[in-house]
Amino acid sequence: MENKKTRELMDKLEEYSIEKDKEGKIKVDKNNLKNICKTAIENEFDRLSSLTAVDYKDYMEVVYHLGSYEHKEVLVVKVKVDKEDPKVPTVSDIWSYANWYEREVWEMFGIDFKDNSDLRKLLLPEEIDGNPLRKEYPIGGRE
Amino acid sequence: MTKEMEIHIGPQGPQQPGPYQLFLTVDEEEIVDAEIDIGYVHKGVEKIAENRTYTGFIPLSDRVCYVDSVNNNQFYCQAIEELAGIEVSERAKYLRVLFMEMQRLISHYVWLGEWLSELGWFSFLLWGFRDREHILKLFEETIGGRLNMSTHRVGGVRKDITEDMIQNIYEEVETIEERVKEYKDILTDNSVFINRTKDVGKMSEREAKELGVVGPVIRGSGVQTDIRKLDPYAAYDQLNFDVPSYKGGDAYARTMVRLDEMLESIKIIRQVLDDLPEGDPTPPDEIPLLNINPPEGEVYTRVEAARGEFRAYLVSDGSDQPYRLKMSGPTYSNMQPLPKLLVGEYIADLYAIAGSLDFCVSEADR
Repeated sequence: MENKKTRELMDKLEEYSIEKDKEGKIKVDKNNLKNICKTAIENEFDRLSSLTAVDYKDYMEVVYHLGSYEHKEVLVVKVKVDKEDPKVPTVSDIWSYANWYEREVWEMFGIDFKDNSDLRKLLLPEEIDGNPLRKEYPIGGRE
Repeated sequence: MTKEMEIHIGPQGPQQPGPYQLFLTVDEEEIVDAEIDIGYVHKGVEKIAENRTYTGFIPLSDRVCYVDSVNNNQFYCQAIEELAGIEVSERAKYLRVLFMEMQRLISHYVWLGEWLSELGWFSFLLWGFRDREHILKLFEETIGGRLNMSTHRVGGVRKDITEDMIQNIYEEVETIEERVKEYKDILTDNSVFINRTKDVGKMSEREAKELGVVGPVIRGSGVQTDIRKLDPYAAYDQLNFDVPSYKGGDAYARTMVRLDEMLESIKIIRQVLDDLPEGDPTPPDEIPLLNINPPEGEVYTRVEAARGEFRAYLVSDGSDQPYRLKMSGPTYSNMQPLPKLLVGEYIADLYAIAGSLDFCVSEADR
């Protein structure tokens, strides 16, 4: 797969990358996230295509897919978060539509997006406790 | 001096394609503030996916949005195939396109009928559903289902089609094409429709990008983006079709985009039937029907569903169940900006705007 634009961007993000691979995935520290998003926007990756999280049992990862309406390449940015005290900075000040994605990840995984003042339940009813998409959450729901 | 009033609309509204609630603050006729609440039909589909086998989730992917089930099959099977490196035969690719475009027509008919009846044009509801029935009958004949088709299998499609079916599709498509053209003539020539939709729910190209909308909505704002062209999947790279886009950015432009798309879909269907390759489109025997174990890894894949870009992120841990499946549907992206579009508009235009964005609430809630 040709991913020239992604590679160029990854070279510019060299200083922030903890780990990277050839397919356009980089792992970064949460403190650099905003700088990375800004660099991406300046380099033709101006769209947040998707924002989600994955629970890997010992830790969790917040996954950002940055893309564009004009080309097909996608940069995957991953931020590792601690399971006990999960916190990442918000990107909803950069992309306003990140708000729903962040609210969903917040309620489903319990990850706190610092400075997002609008963290309310999006899909779940108010009375539900816990974070259903965490692996330890039972499939039948809580008692 | 007027007094502002708060109005709650929904979750059960007579004119809503699924339950969602709107909190509007109005000053006489004008909406000054709006807030939207979704989640009334949240079914935990992503959690369920983690507890099904890969193939066991295909029928559920249909139900993410039954108006667009084939396109949902596509993103899911495509993700597994990319992850496991499974090749799909040429005939299967063409048949997938055929089914997806028939589904796009169904989805656009449901939108056309429901939306125009919301605007007070009841005939369109009957016409839309009458024409949709033609395609549903074709699906019944070819694949067996009417709403939740489950046309796809990992590595192919569920059933092949016969010569008779091909002839039937040719004939039905003929009728449908004439009617779509007629509807377009009626709408472009009707002053009531034009007055109700022109400059209503306006979104400039820049705003559309800032709001992150997808599909016919962003194409109605002049951005010519379509995953079928941008990142072709199935057989779209071998087919000749245009991506309609209009510069208006209003409800009228979005209507025209969808009507043109229906004509493009018909064009694609004809090409598929003309050039349908020989061979067996069902999955080969070496692909297990039940226990597929893609290797450890992850994939991010997209399809252009009827409502816009459907994005899927699938993580595998090497077992026979998805480790994580994230689905970001087009409605999720198109619904979030609704409050912003409503501010400054008249309350009477509420459904003209909401309808022109074409929601499937079940897909947004999952």
